[in-house]
Amino acid sequence: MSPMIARARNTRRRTRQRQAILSILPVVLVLLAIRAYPIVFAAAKSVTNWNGLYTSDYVGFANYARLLKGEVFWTLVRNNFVLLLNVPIQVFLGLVVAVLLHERVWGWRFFRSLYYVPQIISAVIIGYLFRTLFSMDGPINIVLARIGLMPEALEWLGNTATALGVIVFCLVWSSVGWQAIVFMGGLSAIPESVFEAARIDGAGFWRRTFQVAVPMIVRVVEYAVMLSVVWTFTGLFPFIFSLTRGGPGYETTTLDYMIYLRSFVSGVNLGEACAIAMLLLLIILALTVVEMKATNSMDDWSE
Amino acid sequence: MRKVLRITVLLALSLVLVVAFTGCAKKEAKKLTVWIPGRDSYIGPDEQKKAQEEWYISKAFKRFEKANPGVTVELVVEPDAAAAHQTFKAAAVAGTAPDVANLWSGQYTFGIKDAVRPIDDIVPKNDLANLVGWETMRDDFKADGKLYGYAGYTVTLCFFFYNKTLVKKAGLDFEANPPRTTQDFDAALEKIKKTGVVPIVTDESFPWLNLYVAVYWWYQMSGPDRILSDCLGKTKFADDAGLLAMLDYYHALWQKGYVNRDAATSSDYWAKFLQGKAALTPQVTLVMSDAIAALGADNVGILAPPEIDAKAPFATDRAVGGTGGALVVSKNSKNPDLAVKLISFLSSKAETMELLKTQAFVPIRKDISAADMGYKPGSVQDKMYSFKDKYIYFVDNILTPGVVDEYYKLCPLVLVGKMTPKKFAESLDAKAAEMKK
Repeated sequence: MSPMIARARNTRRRTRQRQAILSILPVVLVLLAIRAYPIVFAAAKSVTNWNGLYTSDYVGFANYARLLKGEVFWTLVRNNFVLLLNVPIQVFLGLVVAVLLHERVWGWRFFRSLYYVPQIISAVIIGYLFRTLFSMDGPINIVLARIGLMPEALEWLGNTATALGVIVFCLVWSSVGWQAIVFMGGLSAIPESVFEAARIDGAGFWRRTFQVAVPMIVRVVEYAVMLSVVWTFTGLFPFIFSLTRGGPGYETTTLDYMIYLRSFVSGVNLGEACAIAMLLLLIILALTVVEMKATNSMDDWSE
Repeated sequence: MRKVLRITVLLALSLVLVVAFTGCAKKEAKKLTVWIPGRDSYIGPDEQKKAQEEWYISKAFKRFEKANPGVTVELVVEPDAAAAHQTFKAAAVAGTAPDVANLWSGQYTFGIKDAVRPIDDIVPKNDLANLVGWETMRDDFKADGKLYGYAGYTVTLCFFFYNKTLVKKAGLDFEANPPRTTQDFDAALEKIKKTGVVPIVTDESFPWLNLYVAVYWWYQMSGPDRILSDCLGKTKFADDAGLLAMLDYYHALWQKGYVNRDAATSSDYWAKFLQGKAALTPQVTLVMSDAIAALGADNVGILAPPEIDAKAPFATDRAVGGTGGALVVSKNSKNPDLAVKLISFLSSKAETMELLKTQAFVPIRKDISAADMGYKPGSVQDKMYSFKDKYIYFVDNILTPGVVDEYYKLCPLVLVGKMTPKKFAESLDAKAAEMKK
């Protein structure tokens, strides 16, 4: 290669690099402003006794130590991990629904819209709906009593196990449609002939779903699982607020709800709220890494 | 000479113009921004169904503007009264806090005092003489403490609202013979229970029964100074015999079946009372009109808490209540005098009487009688008014920030026996110690 051609290629490469950098720069700057800055700010404030006003003295890791030593923090972590149960259930149901809709079962157009309806209802309304459904004199207890399954009304939201169970049910109900839509997007990339061949080979519905569809859309499943996990840690506030207010006691309070309590009710301790936010970030990062590793090994296997 | 004259005239004209413009600048329009919560405030429950310009507060601001040419008042409705304190703080840091905010009194205001302008120097003496509740706005409730604003717009009182028909069905007459001891009270509730009706309905996920009624027993036995001292970590909640005895009795009410079983999570307790499915419920007088509308004026009664100890050292024959609200001026306000003038205007006798047309309550003014308010002798409103000087201040407004949140959160667990009073008290101590740091 002549030096002139090499120089021209270098110049072209540099120009392309410059163009690429300039193209992504605005997005990077926006991300830095709306993502990185708040994280750095929260990290800095998490080692202070910031009260939201003018008090913001450095207190070292006192906020973290107090949280980690206290019982309440571990109750919140427990609650979040229990509520993670909604992820496998909604992914499983979402997959089943997606394959059914993909195979265009009878009435699929209607069901596709129906399953998505909860997604367009406000989370607060869903929370109140479930609060009413599962109240002592609510429809669930009435139905269970009528069919003789539970003669005495149960206080669903008053016991830790049942209250968390109701929240899991509520989250699954509201998210199955979203999962189904995401999986349908993945399934649409699989040639119809693959399902056809599986059917000819005698694969039933479950084998088609879990031995044909899942390995081929593993990255989509990974995306859905990852988003659902992150959502379970960061997006439950409206559900908890309207369904149980985190009670009784702290029995259904989650980490994100606690951030609200520490930030916006009278005993404001924004330093501690920032510390909870940082711990939450670490938990989500750790879970994401584990999950990506697991999905990578699955993907290798599918190949 | 002519030239000199011309120059002199020109200079004089310029001077006149400058003075005129300066005068105009001085008369520049002044604007006050006011935050009012959307409920339990100057905005009554019935008003929310109307257009904003028809609300009492909107009309009051118009009257103030008319009386003060050049002044405009902007109303900002705060959707969440509980979160308003933090929002106010955030706005204060950003330099955008409103001139006036309607918040909660006592510790809620003391918790944000860095953002509030003390008004000792600008409050009219007439108001100090004619209004009640100033002690709830003075630093640490001390008579010589800095004054952080006006107490709220009403004296709110808490009672058991009761359904007269259901109470009579149990062979009781709370009008002629109200239970005045906890033993009598238990006996009455037992009789009501035997008729197949739930004696008391409540939703303690926010501990209404505790805060509206039960805290009275704590106050009776321990007194406000001890409660404050517990909060400040000088003494222990866990050693506060009054608190522990109150919590024991609070739990016993539930355990004996006198309180709805789902009291820790009930979503429909108020509806049940209004539908005549329960005999008593703890409530504030602000919603009395709803109870009267649902059950009928002759069917609603109010009952003050019974005495837990007839020889209680700190209070007898009272209800829980007081001026729970607060009107504060922010440090950001460029017109604090005008802001106080507006609050004073809203607290005037004429405006209070106007407000009374939209809500039934006990006024904060000393110069308004039950007759002025049109309360018929013997009516439930008249009975409410008879408690205007017989109340203990809301205990949750005495509890310090942080401690009060823990109190709200854990109280329902004590009611249903999932937490012992001792453990509850220890949790409050831990929180008080944490807040002290």
